[in-house]
Amino acid sequence: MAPMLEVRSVRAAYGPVVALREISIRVPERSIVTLLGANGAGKSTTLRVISGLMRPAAGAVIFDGLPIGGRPADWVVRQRIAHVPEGRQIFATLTVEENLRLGAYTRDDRAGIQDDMTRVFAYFPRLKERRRQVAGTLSGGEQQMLAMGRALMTRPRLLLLDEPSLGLAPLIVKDIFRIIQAVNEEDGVTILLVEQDARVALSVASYGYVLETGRVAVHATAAELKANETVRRSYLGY
Amino acid sequence: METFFAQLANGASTGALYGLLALALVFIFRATDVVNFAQGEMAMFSTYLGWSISRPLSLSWIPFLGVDRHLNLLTWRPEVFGLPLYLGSENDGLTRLGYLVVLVVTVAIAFVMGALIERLLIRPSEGKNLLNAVIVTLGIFAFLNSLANFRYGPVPQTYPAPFRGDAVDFGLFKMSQHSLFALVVAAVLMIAVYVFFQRTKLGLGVRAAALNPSASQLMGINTGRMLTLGWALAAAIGCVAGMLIAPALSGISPNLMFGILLYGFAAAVLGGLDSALGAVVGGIAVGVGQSMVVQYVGSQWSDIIAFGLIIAILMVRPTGLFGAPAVKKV
Repeated sequence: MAPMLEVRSVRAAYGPVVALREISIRVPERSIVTLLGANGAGKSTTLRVISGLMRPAAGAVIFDGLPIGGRPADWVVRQRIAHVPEGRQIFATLTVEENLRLGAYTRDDRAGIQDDMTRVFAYFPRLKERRRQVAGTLSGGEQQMLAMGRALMTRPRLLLLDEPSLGLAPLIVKDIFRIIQAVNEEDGVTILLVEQDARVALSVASYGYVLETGRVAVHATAAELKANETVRRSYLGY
Repeated sequence: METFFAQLANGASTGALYGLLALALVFIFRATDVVNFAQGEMAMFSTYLGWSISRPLSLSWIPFLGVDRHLNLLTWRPEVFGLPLYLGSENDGLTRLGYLVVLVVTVAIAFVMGALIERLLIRPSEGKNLLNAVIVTLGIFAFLNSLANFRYGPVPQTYPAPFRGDAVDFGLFKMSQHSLFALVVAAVLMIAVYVFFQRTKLGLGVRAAALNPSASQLMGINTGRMLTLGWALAAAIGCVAGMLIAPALSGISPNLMFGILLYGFAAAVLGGLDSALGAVVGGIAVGVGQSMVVQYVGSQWSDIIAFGLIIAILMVRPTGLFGAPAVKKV
Protein backbone atom coordinates (compact mmCIF):
# COMPACT_ATOMS: atom_id res chain seq x y z
CA MET A 1 0.00 0.00 0.00
CA ALA A 2 1.25 3.48 -0.81
CA PRO A 3 2.23 5.51 2.26
CA MET A 4 0.28 8.63 3.22
CA LEU A 5 3.35 10.82 2.73
CA GLU A 6 6.26 10.08 0.48
CA VAL A 7 9.34 12.26 0.16
CA ARG A 8 11.17 11.10 -2.95
CA SER A 9 14.84 12.03 -3.56
CA VAL A 10 14.36 15.60 -2.37
CA ARG A 11 17.18 18.10 -2.56
CA ALA A 12 17.11 21.61 -1.13
CA ALA A 13 19.52 24.46 -0.46
CA TYR A 14 19.60 27.81 1.34
CA GLY A 15 21.27 29.87 -1.37
CA PRO A 16 24.69 28.31 -1.88
CA VAL A 17 24.41 26.13 1.24
CA VAL A 18 23.09 22.66 0.42
CA ALA A 19 20.85 21.44 3.25
CA LEU A 20 19.36 18.28 1.75
CA ARG A 21 21.50 16.17 -0.59
CA GLU A 22 19.02 13.43 -1.12
CA ILE A 23 16.23 12.57 1.26
CA SER A 24 13.64 9.84 0.77
CA ILE A 25 11.20 8.96 3.52
CA ARG A 26 7.83 7.22 3.75
CA VAL A 27 5.21 7.86 6.40
CA PRO A 28 2.34 5.32 6.56
CA GLU A 29 -1.12 6.52 7.58
CA ARG A 30 -1.80 6.63 11.35
CA SER A 31 1.83 5.96 12.25
CA ILE A 32 4.38 8.00 14.19
CA VAL A 33 7.66 8.27 12.28
CA THR A 34 10.66 10.11 13.65
CA LEU A 35 13.58 11.92 12.00
CA LEU A 36 16.71 11.82 14.14
CA GLY A 37 20.21 13.18 13.75
CA ALA A 38 22.61 15.89 14.80
CA ASN A 39 22.23 19.64 14.36
CA GLY A 40 22.39 20.61 10.71
CA ALA A 41 21.57 17.11 9.45
CA GLY A 42 18.55 18.46 7.56
CA LYS A 43 15.68 17.43 9.84
CA SER A 44 13.97 20.83 10.06
CA THR A 45 14.61 21.53 6.40
CA THR A 46 12.82 18.30 5.48
CA LEU A 47 9.75 19.47 7.42
CA ARG A 48 9.96 22.92 5.81
CA VAL A 49 9.97 21.36 2.35
CA ILE A 50 6.93 19.22 3.20
CA SER A 51 4.89 22.12 4.62
CA GLY A 52 5.80 24.44 1.74
CA LEU A 53 7.89 26.97 3.68
CA MET A 54 10.75 25.97 1.38
CA ARG A 55 10.86 24.91 -2.27
CA PRO A 56 12.74 21.71 -3.05
CA ALA A 57 15.45 22.05 -5.72
CA ALA A 58 14.72 18.54 -6.98
CA GLY A 59 12.63 15.50 -6.09
CA ALA A 60 8.96 15.08 -5.22
CA VAL A 61 6.71 15.24 -2.17
CA ILE A 62 3.55 13.16 -2.52
CA PHE A 63 0.69 13.40 -0.02
CA ASP A 64 -2.17 10.98 -0.53
CA GLY A 65 -1.27 10.62 -4.21
CA LEU A 66 -1.14 14.39 -4.67
CA PRO A 67 2.18 16.10 -5.56
CA ILE A 68 2.62 18.93 -3.03
CA GLY A 69 6.35 19.75 -3.38
CA GLY A 70 6.93 23.41 -4.20
CA ARG A 71 3.35 24.51 -3.47
CA PRO A 72 2.99 27.51 -1.08
CA ALA A 73 2.51 26.84 2.64
CA ASP A 74 -0.94 28.44 2.80
CA TRP A 75 -2.09 25.94 0.17
CA VAL A 76 -0.44 22.93 1.79
CA VAL A 77 -2.19 23.52 5.14
CA ARG A 78 -5.52 23.28 3.29
CA GLN A 79 -4.57 19.72 2.34
CA ARG A 80 -4.63 19.16 6.13
CA ILE A 81 -0.92 19.05 6.84
CA ALA A 82 -0.04 21.05 9.96
CA HIS A 83 3.51 22.11 10.88
CA VAL A 84 4.63 23.03 14.39
CA PRO A 85 7.82 24.83 13.40
CA GLU A 86 11.22 25.07 15.03
CA GLY A 87 11.10 27.53 17.92
CA ARG A 88 7.28 27.27 18.10
CA GLN A 89 6.67 30.59 16.30
CA ILE A 90 3.58 31.52 18.29
CA PHE A 91 2.11 35.00 17.82
CA ALA A 92 3.63 36.51 20.95
CA THR A 93 1.55 39.70 21.20
CA LEU A 94 -1.78 37.98 20.51
CA THR A 95 -3.80 36.17 23.16
CA VAL A 96 -3.87 32.40 23.56
CA GLU A 97 -7.38 32.31 22.14
CA GLU A 98 -6.43 34.45 19.12
CA ASN A 99 -3.53 32.11 18.41
CA LEU A 100 -5.91 29.15 18.44
CA ARG A 101 -8.45 30.96 16.26
CA LEU A 102 -5.67 31.59 13.74
CA GLY A 103 -5.16 27.83 13.65
CA ALA A 104 -8.73 27.55 12.38
CA TYR A 105 -8.18 30.29 9.77
CA THR A 106 -8.81 27.98 6.82
CA ARG A 107 -12.09 26.67 8.26
CA ASP A 108 -15.63 28.02 8.26
CA ASP A 109 -17.48 25.34 10.24
CA ARG A 110 -18.26 27.21 13.46
CA ALA A 111 -19.50 24.15 15.33
CA GLY A 112 -16.48 22.07 14.32
CA ILE A 113 -14.09 24.84 15.35
CA GLN A 114 -15.81 25.09 18.74
CA ASP A 115 -15.53 21.29 19.17
CA ASP A 116 -11.83 21.37 18.34
CA MET A 117 -11.26 24.28 20.72
CA THR A 118 -12.87 22.21 23.49
CA ARG A 119 -10.72 19.23 22.52
CA VAL A 120 -7.51 21.29 22.57
CA PHE A 121 -8.45 22.67 26.01
CA ALA A 122 -9.05 19.09 27.18
CA TYR A 123 -5.52 18.12 26.08
CA PHE A 124 -3.99 21.30 27.50
CA PRO A 125 -6.04 22.58 30.47
CA ARG A 126 -3.36 25.23 31.15
CA LEU A 127 -4.26 26.93 27.88
CA LYS A 128 -7.89 27.18 28.95
CA GLU A 129 -6.91 28.91 32.18
CA ARG A 130 -4.80 31.37 30.20
CA ARG A 131 -6.98 31.84 27.15
CA ARG A 132 -7.17 35.64 27.54
CA GLN A 133 -3.48 36.01 28.32
CA VAL A 134 -0.96 37.33 25.80
CA ALA A 135 0.94 34.33 24.41
CA GLY A 136 4.39 35.87 24.91
CA THR A 137 3.90 35.70 28.69
CA LEU A 138 3.50 31.90 28.71
CA SER A 139 6.24 29.57 29.96
CA GLY A 140 8.26 27.55 27.41
CA GLY A 141 6.17 24.43 28.01
CA GLU A 142 2.92 26.33 27.67
CA GLN A 143 4.14 27.93 24.44
CA GLN A 144 4.90 24.44 23.07
CA MET A 145 1.38 23.39 24.07
CA LEU A 146 -0.04 26.44 22.34
CA ALA A 147 1.93 25.76 19.16
CA MET A 148 0.60 22.20 19.13
CA GLY A 149 -2.93 23.30 19.97
CA ARG A 150 -2.84 25.87 17.19
CA ALA A 151 -1.72 23.17 14.73
CA LEU A 152 -4.49 20.83 15.91
CA MET A 153 -7.03 23.60 15.22
CA THR A 154 -6.33 23.14 11.51
CA ARG A 155 -7.76 19.62 12.04
CA PRO A 156 -4.74 17.98 10.42
CA ARG A 157 -4.43 14.49 8.98
CA LEU A 158 -0.65 14.79 9.12
CA LEU A 159 1.14 16.66 11.90
CA LEU A 160 4.78 17.73 11.50
CA LEU A 161 6.42 18.36 14.87
CA ASP A 162 9.83 20.06 15.10
CA GLU A 163 11.65 19.38 18.37
CA PRO A 164 8.75 19.54 20.80
CA SER A 165 11.09 18.75 23.70
CA LEU A 166 13.53 21.60 23.08
CA GLY A 167 14.37 23.51 26.22
CA LEU A 168 11.69 21.89 28.36
CA ALA A 169 11.96 20.25 31.78
CA PRO A 170 11.82 16.40 31.69
CA LEU A 171 8.42 16.28 33.40
CA ILE A 172 6.88 18.58 30.81
CA VAL A 173 8.50 16.62 27.98
CA LYS A 174 6.84 13.49 29.36
CA ASP A 175 3.50 15.30 29.42
CA ILE A 176 3.85 16.50 25.85
CA PHE A 177 4.81 13.11 24.50
CA ARG A 178 1.84 11.53 26.26
CA ILE A 179 -0.35 13.98 24.35
CA ILE A 180 1.44 13.31 21.06
CA GLN A 181 0.63 9.65 21.54
CA ALA A 182 -3.00 10.40 22.39
CA VAL A 183 -3.43 12.62 19.31
CA ASN A 184 -2.07 9.76 17.21
CA GLU A 185 -4.10 6.96 18.78
CA GLU A 186 -7.40 8.67 19.61
CA ASP A 187 -7.70 11.18 16.77
CA GLY A 188 -5.93 9.05 14.17
CA VAL A 189 -3.50 11.83 13.23
CA THR A 190 -0.35 10.69 11.42
CA ILE A 191 2.77 12.23 12.93
CA LEU A 192 6.22 13.00 11.55
CA LEU A 193 8.39 13.92 14.52
CA VAL A 194 11.78 15.64 14.43
CA GLU A 195 13.76 15.19 17.64
CA GLN A 196 17.23 15.61 19.05
CA ASP A 197 16.33 13.46 22.04
CA ALA A 198 16.39 10.08 20.28
CA ARG A 199 15.45 8.12 23.40
CA VAL A 200 12.15 9.89 23.97
CA ALA A 201 11.33 9.98 20.23
CA LEU A 202 11.87 6.23 19.81
CA SER A 203 9.62 5.58 22.81
CA VAL A 204 6.58 6.76 20.81
CA ALA A 205 7.61 6.23 17.17
CA SER A 206 7.20 3.00 15.25
CA TYR A 207 9.81 3.81 12.59
CA GLY A 208 12.84 6.06 12.48
CA TYR A 209 15.17 7.70 9.96
CA VAL A 210 18.59 8.89 11.01
CA LEU A 211 19.81 11.85 8.95
CA GLU A 212 23.42 12.82 8.47
CA THR A 213 24.54 15.91 6.46
CA GLY A 214 21.46 15.95 4.27
CA ARG A 215 21.18 12.21 3.61
CA VAL A 216 19.40 9.29 5.23
CA ALA A 217 22.17 7.35 6.97
CA VAL A 218 20.07 4.57 8.51
CA HIS A 219 16.39 3.74 8.64
CA ALA A 220 14.66 0.93 10.48
CA THR A 221 11.83 0.21 12.90
CA ALA A 222 12.12 1.90 16.27
CA ALA A 223 12.78 -1.45 17.95
CA GLU A 224 15.64 -2.23 15.57
CA LEU A 225 17.20 1.21 16.00
CA LYS A 226 17.05 0.89 19.78
CA ALA A 227 18.53 -2.64 19.67
CA ASN A 228 21.43 -1.80 17.37
CA GLU A 229 24.29 -0.67 19.56
CA THR A 230 26.43 0.72 16.71
CA VAL A 231 23.60 2.96 15.50
CA ARG A 232 22.87 4.06 19.06
CA ARG A 233 26.47 4.97 19.78
CA SER A 234 27.45 6.60 16.50
CA TYR A 235 24.25 8.42 15.63
CA LEU A 236 21.93 8.66 18.59
CA GLY A 237 24.46 9.37 21.29
CA TYR A 238 23.17 7.29 24.18
CA MET B 1 -13.63 80.87 28.37
CA GLU B 2 -15.73 80.58 25.26
CA THR B 3 -12.59 80.90 23.13
CA PHE B 4 -10.99 78.12 25.11
CA PHE B 5 -13.83 75.69 24.42
CA ALA B 6 -14.06 76.73 20.80
CA GLN B 7 -10.33 76.08 20.39
CA LEU B 8 -10.76 72.75 22.16
CA ALA B 9 -13.57 71.69 19.81
CA ASN B 10 -11.82 72.84 16.64
CA GLY B 11 -8.57 71.31 17.80
CA ALA B 12 -10.32 68.01 18.42
CA SER B 13 -11.85 68.09 14.95
CA THR B 14 -8.56 68.85 13.18
CA GLY B 15 -6.87 66.39 15.49
CA ALA B 16 -9.31 63.67 14.48
CA LEU B 17 -8.18 64.19 10.89
CA TYR B 18 -4.51 63.99 11.94
CA GLY B 19 -5.59 60.84 13.75
CA LEU B 20 -7.05 59.39 10.54
CA LEU B 21 -3.82 59.98 8.69
CA ALA B 22 -1.87 58.54 11.62
CA LEU B 23 -4.22 55.55 11.53
CA ALA B 24 -3.36 54.99 7.85
CA LEU B 25 0.36 55.15 8.74
CA VAL B 26 -0.18 52.68 11.58
CA PHE B 27 -2.16 50.37 9.30
CA ILE B 28 0.75 50.06 6.87
CA PHE B 29 3.35 49.93 9.61
CA ARG B 30 1.53 47.06 11.31
CA ALA B 31 0.98 45.19 8.06
CA THR B 32 4.43 45.67 6.51
CA ASP B 33 6.80 47.30 9.03
CA VAL B 34 7.24 50.14 6.52
CA VAL B 35 6.77 53.81 7.41
CA ASN B 36 4.91 55.12 4.38
CA PHE B 37 6.19 58.60 3.64
CA ALA B 38 3.92 58.75 0.58
CA GLN B 39 0.77 58.49 2.72
CA GLY B 40 0.05 62.21 2.55
CA GLU B 41 0.63 62.50 -1.19
CA MET B 42 -1.48 59.38 -1.86
CA ALA B 43 -4.27 61.07 0.11
CA MET B 44 -3.74 64.36 -1.73
CA PHE B 45 -3.80 62.71 -5.13
CA SER B 46 -6.94 60.68 -4.47
CA THR B 47 -8.56 63.84 -3.07
CA TYR B 48 -7.82 65.47 -6.43
CA LEU B 49 -9.40 62.52 -8.22
CA GLY B 50 -12.50 63.17 -6.11
CA TRP B 51 -12.38 66.81 -7.21
CA SER B 52 -12.14 65.67 -10.85
CA ILE B 53 -15.18 63.43 -10.70
CA SER B 54 -17.19 66.05 -8.82
CA ARG B 55 -16.83 68.38 -11.84
CA PRO B 56 -19.42 68.10 -14.58
CA LEU B 57 -18.34 65.03 -16.53
CA SER B 58 -18.72 65.15 -20.26
CA LEU B 59 -20.55 62.11 -21.50
CA SER B 60 -20.26 63.04 -25.17
CA TRP B 61 -18.02 60.03 -25.77
CA ILE B 62 -20.99 57.75 -25.14
CA PRO B 63 -22.66 57.86 -28.58
CA PHE B 64 -26.33 57.34 -27.76
CA LEU B 65 -26.42 60.06 -25.09
CA GLY B 66 -25.90 62.76 -27.67
CA VAL B 67 -23.21 65.39 -27.83
CA ASP B 68 -24.22 67.77 -25.08
CA ARG B 69 -24.96 65.55 -22.11
CA HIS B 70 -23.05 66.24 -18.93
CA LEU B 71 -23.19 64.36 -15.69
CA ASN B 72 -22.67 66.34 -12.52
CA LEU B 73 -22.52 63.91 -9.64
CA LEU B 74 -22.50 66.62 -6.98
CA THR B 75 -25.81 68.11 -8.01
CA TRP B 76 -27.41 64.81 -8.84
CA ARG B 77 -31.14 64.95 -7.93
CA PRO B 78 -32.80 61.66 -8.72
CA GLU B 79 -36.56 61.66 -8.19
CA VAL B 80 -39.11 58.88 -8.19
CA PHE B 81 -42.67 59.99 -9.03
CA GLY B 82 -41.68 63.53 -8.12
CA LEU B 83 -40.35 62.54 -4.69
CA PRO B 84 -36.72 63.52 -4.14
CA LEU B 85 -34.34 60.62 -3.43
CA TYR B 86 -31.65 63.02 -2.24
CA LEU B 87 -31.11 64.66 1.11
CA GLY B 88 -30.92 68.41 1.51
CA SER B 89 -28.90 70.70 -0.67
CA GLU B 90 -26.79 73.78 -0.29
CA ASN B 91 -27.33 76.94 -2.32
CA ASP B 92 -24.53 75.98 -4.73
CA GLY B 93 -26.74 73.12 -5.89
CA LEU B 94 -24.73 70.36 -4.20
CA THR B 95 -26.84 67.52 -2.84
CA ARG B 96 -25.84 65.26 0.06
CA LEU B 97 -26.55 62.21 -2.09
CA GLY B 98 -24.31 63.58 -4.83
CA TYR B 99 -21.55 64.15 -2.27
CA LEU B 100 -21.96 60.65 -0.89
CA VAL B 101 -21.64 59.14 -4.38
CA VAL B 102 -18.49 61.18 -5.04
CA LEU B 103 -17.07 60.14 -1.65
CA VAL B 104 -17.76 56.44 -2.16
CA VAL B 105 -16.41 56.38 -5.73
CA THR B 106 -13.28 58.31 -4.75
CA VAL B 107 -12.57 56.09 -1.76
CA ALA B 108 -13.00 53.02 -3.98
CA ILE B 109 -10.50 54.45 -6.47
CA ALA B 110 -8.08 55.19 -3.61
CA PHE B 111 -8.47 51.60 -2.37
CA VAL B 112 -7.49 50.23 -5.80
CA MET B 113 -4.66 52.76 -6.07
CA GLY B 114 -3.26 51.61 -2.69
CA ALA B 115 -3.45 47.97 -3.74
CA LEU B 116 -1.71 48.68 -7.06
CA ILE B 117 1.06 50.68 -5.37
CA GLU B 118 1.75 47.77 -3.04
CA ARG B 119 1.66 45.15 -5.79
CA LEU B 120 3.69 47.01 -8.39
CA LEU B 121 6.07 49.21 -6.41
CA ILE B 122 6.43 47.94 -2.86
CA ARG B 123 6.29 44.16 -3.46
CA PRO B 124 9.57 44.00 -5.46
CA SER B 125 11.48 45.42 -2.48
CA GLU B 126 9.84 43.05 -0.01
CA GLY B 127 12.07 40.62 1.85
CA LYS B 128 15.10 42.81 1.21
CA ASN B 129 16.37 45.69 3.32
CA LEU B 130 13.40 47.55 4.83
CA LEU B 131 15.13 50.77 3.87
CA ASN B 132 14.52 49.91 0.18
CA ALA B 133 10.77 50.02 0.68
CA VAL B 134 11.00 53.26 2.66
CA ILE B 135 12.99 54.87 -0.16
CA VAL B 136 10.41 53.63 -2.67
CA THR B 137 7.72 55.44 -0.62
CA LEU B 138 9.82 58.62 -0.83
CA GLY B 139 9.90 58.16 -4.60
CA ILE B 140 6.11 57.79 -4.72
CA PHE B 141 5.84 60.94 -2.61
CA ALA B 142 7.87 62.97 -5.15
CA PHE B 143 6.15 61.40 -8.14
CA LEU B 144 2.58 62.03 -6.97
CA ASN B 145 3.40 65.57 -5.92
CA SER B 146 4.89 66.40 -9.33
CA LEU B 147 2.06 64.67 -11.15
CA ALA B 148 -0.53 66.72 -9.23
CA ASN B 149 1.35 69.94 -10.00
CA PHE B 150 1.55 68.98 -13.65
CA ARG B 151 -2.06 67.86 -14.01
CA TYR B 152 -3.89 70.30 -11.71
CA GLY B 153 -1.50 73.20 -11.28
CA PRO B 154 -0.35 74.82 -8.03
CA VAL B 155 -3.39 77.07 -7.50
CA PRO B 156 -5.78 75.89 -4.75
CA GLN B 157 -9.26 74.88 -5.96
CA THR B 158 -12.37 75.08 -3.79
CA TYR B 159 -13.42 71.68 -2.58
CA PRO B 160 -17.00 70.47 -2.08
CA ALA B 161 -18.25 70.02 1.49
CA PRO B 162 -21.65 68.55 2.30
CA PHE B 163 -22.39 70.69 5.38
CA ARG B 164 -21.71 74.39 5.09
CA GLY B 165 -24.57 76.05 6.96
CA ASP B 166 -24.38 78.14 10.13
CA ALA B 167 -22.18 77.03 12.98
CA VAL B 168 -23.84 74.80 15.55
CA ASP B 169 -24.22 76.43 18.97
CA PHE B 170 -23.42 74.13 21.89
CA GLY B 171 -23.90 76.84 24.51
CA LEU B 172 -20.32 76.86 25.73
CA PHE B 173 -18.96 77.19 22.22
CA LYS B 174 -19.86 77.16 18.55
CA MET B 175 -18.54 74.69 16.03
CA SER B 176 -18.78 74.82 12.26
CA GLN B 177 -20.94 72.17 10.64
CA HIS B 178 -18.01 70.90 8.65
CA SER B 179 -15.81 70.46 11.75
CA LEU B 180 -18.59 68.54 13.41
CA PHE B 181 -19.09 66.39 10.31
CA ALA B 182 -15.33 65.68 10.11
CA LEU B 183 -15.28 64.71 13.77
CA VAL B 184 -18.19 62.29 13.36
CA VAL B 185 -16.79 60.67 10.20
CA ALA B 186 -13.38 60.28 11.82
CA ALA B 187 -14.92 58.72 14.92
CA VAL B 188 -16.97 56.26 12.87
CA LEU B 189 -13.93 55.25 10.79
CA MET B 190 -11.80 54.77 13.88
CA ILE B 191 -14.40 52.50 15.44
CA ALA B 192 -14.69 50.59 12.15
CA VAL B 193 -10.92 50.06 12.05
CA TYR B 194 -10.90 48.92 15.65
CA VAL B 195 -13.70 46.42 15.00
CA PHE B 196 -11.93 45.22 11.84
CA PHE B 197 -8.68 44.48 13.66
CA GLN B 198 -10.11 43.16 16.92
CA ARG B 199 -13.32 41.39 15.94
CA THR B 200 -13.01 40.02 12.41
CA LYS B 201 -11.12 37.00 11.14
CA LEU B 202 -9.63 38.99 8.26
CA GLY B 203 -8.37 41.65 10.70
CA LEU B 204 -6.80 38.93 12.85
CA GLY B 205 -5.17 37.58 9.69
CA VAL B 206 -3.68 40.99 8.85
CA ARG B 207 -2.28 41.33 12.38
CA ALA B 208 -0.84 37.81 12.30
CA ALA B 209 0.75 38.31 8.87
CA ALA B 210 2.52 41.42 10.15
CA LEU B 211 3.70 39.71 13.35
CA ASN B 212 5.10 36.53 11.82
CA PRO B 213 4.74 35.94 8.09
CA SER B 214 6.00 32.36 7.93
CA ALA B 215 3.90 31.18 10.89
CA SER B 216 0.90 32.92 9.28
CA GLN B 217 1.44 30.99 6.06
CA LEU B 218 1.43 27.80 8.11
CA MET B 219 -2.03 28.86 9.36
CA GLY B 220 -3.22 29.13 5.76
CA ILE B 221 -3.01 32.92 5.53
CA ASN B 222 -2.02 34.30 2.14
CA THR B 223 0.37 36.89 3.57
CA GLY B 224 0.90 38.68 0.25
CA ARG B 225 -2.83 39.36 -0.01
CA MET B 226 -2.85 40.74 3.56
CA LEU B 227 -0.12 43.24 2.68
CA THR B 228 -2.05 44.39 -0.38
CA LEU B 229 -5.18 44.73 1.72
CA GLY B 230 -3.29 46.74 4.35
CA TRP B 231 -2.06 49.25 1.74
CA ALA B 232 -5.46 49.44 0.07
CA LEU B 233 -7.28 50.15 3.35
CA ALA B 234 -4.67 52.70 4.41
CA ALA B 235 -5.04 54.51 1.09
CA ALA B 236 -8.83 54.54 1.52
CA ILE B 237 -8.57 55.99 5.04
CA GLY B 238 -6.08 58.61 3.89
CA CYS B 239 -8.44 59.56 1.06
CA VAL B 240 -11.31 60.20 3.49
CA ALA B 241 -8.98 62.35 5.59
CA GLY B 242 -7.95 64.33 2.51
CA MET B 243 -11.52 64.91 1.39
CA LEU B 244 -12.41 66.27 4.83
CA ILE B 245 -9.26 68.36 5.21
CA ALA B 246 -9.42 70.12 1.83
CA PRO B 247 -12.65 72.10 2.48
CA ALA B 248 -11.47 72.93 6.02
CA LEU B 249 -8.36 74.59 4.58
CA SER B 250 -8.32 76.95 1.63
CA GLY B 251 -9.27 74.15 -0.79
CA ILE B 252 -7.13 71.57 -2.52
CA SER B 253 -3.61 72.14 -3.80
CA PRO B 254 -0.70 69.78 -4.50
CA ASN B 255 0.84 70.75 -1.16
CA LEU B 256 -2.38 70.07 0.75
CA MET B 257 -0.95 67.30 2.89
CA PHE B 258 2.57 68.60 3.49
CA GLY B 259 1.95 70.06 6.91
CA ILE B 260 -0.83 67.61 7.70
CA LEU B 261 1.41 64.59 7.12
CA LEU B 262 3.96 65.97 9.55
CA TYR B 263 1.26 66.36 12.19
CA GLY B 264 0.01 62.87 11.28
CA PHE B 265 3.52 61.58 11.94
CA ALA B 266 3.61 63.47 15.20
CA ALA B 267 0.31 61.83 16.15
CA ALA B 268 1.51 58.35 15.17
CA VAL B 269 4.81 58.73 17.02
CA LEU B 270 3.08 60.14 20.09
CA GLY B 271 0.61 57.23 20.22
CA GLY B 272 3.06 54.55 19.14
CA LEU B 273 3.52 53.57 15.50
CA ASP B 274 2.00 50.14 16.01
CA SER B 275 -1.08 51.16 17.99
CA ALA B 276 -4.38 52.05 16.32
CA LEU B 277 -5.75 53.47 19.57
CA GLY B 278 -2.53 55.43 20.00
CA ALA B 279 -2.95 57.01 16.55
CA VAL B 280 -6.39 58.29 17.47
CA VAL B 281 -5.43 59.61 20.89
CA GLY B 282 -2.19 61.01 19.49
CA GLY B 283 -4.03 62.75 16.68
CA ILE B 284 -6.51 64.46 18.97
CA ALA B 285 -3.76 65.42 21.42
CA VAL B 286 -1.70 66.97 18.62
CA GLY B 287 -4.73 68.79 17.18
CA VAL B 288 -5.84 70.23 20.50
CA GLY B 289 -2.26 71.10 21.43
CA GLN B 290 -1.77 72.87 18.14
CA SER B 291 -4.89 75.01 18.44
CA MET B 292 -4.05 75.92 22.04
CA VAL B 293 -0.54 76.97 21.07
CA VAL B 294 -1.91 79.04 18.17
CA GLN B 295 -4.42 80.73 20.46
CA TYR B 296 -2.34 81.38 23.55
CA VAL B 297 1.31 81.35 22.48
CA GLY B 298 1.37 82.36 18.85
CA SER B 299 1.00 80.52 15.57
CA GLN B 300 4.71 80.72 14.79
CA TRP B 301 5.34 78.43 17.76
CA SER B 302 3.01 75.63 16.72
CA ASP B 303 5.46 73.68 14.52
CA ILE B 304 8.35 74.20 16.90
CA ILE B 305 6.39 72.88 19.85
CA ALA B 306 4.86 69.97 17.90
CA PHE B 307 8.17 68.70 16.59
CA GLY B 308 10.04 69.44 19.75
CA LEU B 309 7.48 67.17 21.36
CA ILE B 310 8.14 64.34 18.86
CA ILE B 311 11.85 64.49 19.54
CA ALA B 312 11.27 64.55 23.29
CA ILE B 313 8.94 61.55 23.13
CA LEU B 314 11.32 59.57 20.93
CA MET B 315 14.04 60.16 23.52
CA VAL B 316 11.99 59.27 26.58
CA ARG B 317 9.66 56.61 25.22
CA PRO B 318 10.73 55.42 21.77
CA THR B 319 7.65 53.21 21.31
CA GLY B 320 5.16 55.99 22.01
CA LEU B 321 2.46 56.16 24.66
CA PHE B 322 0.56 53.04 23.52
CA GLY B 323 3.20 51.20 21.51
CA ALA B 324 4.35 47.67 22.29
CA PRO B 325 7.58 47.80 24.29
CA ALA B 326 9.22 45.20 22.02
CA VAL B 327 12.24 46.37 20.05
CA LYS B 328 11.52 46.72 16.34
CA LYS B 329 13.94 46.95 13.45
CA VAL B 330 13.32 49.88 11.16
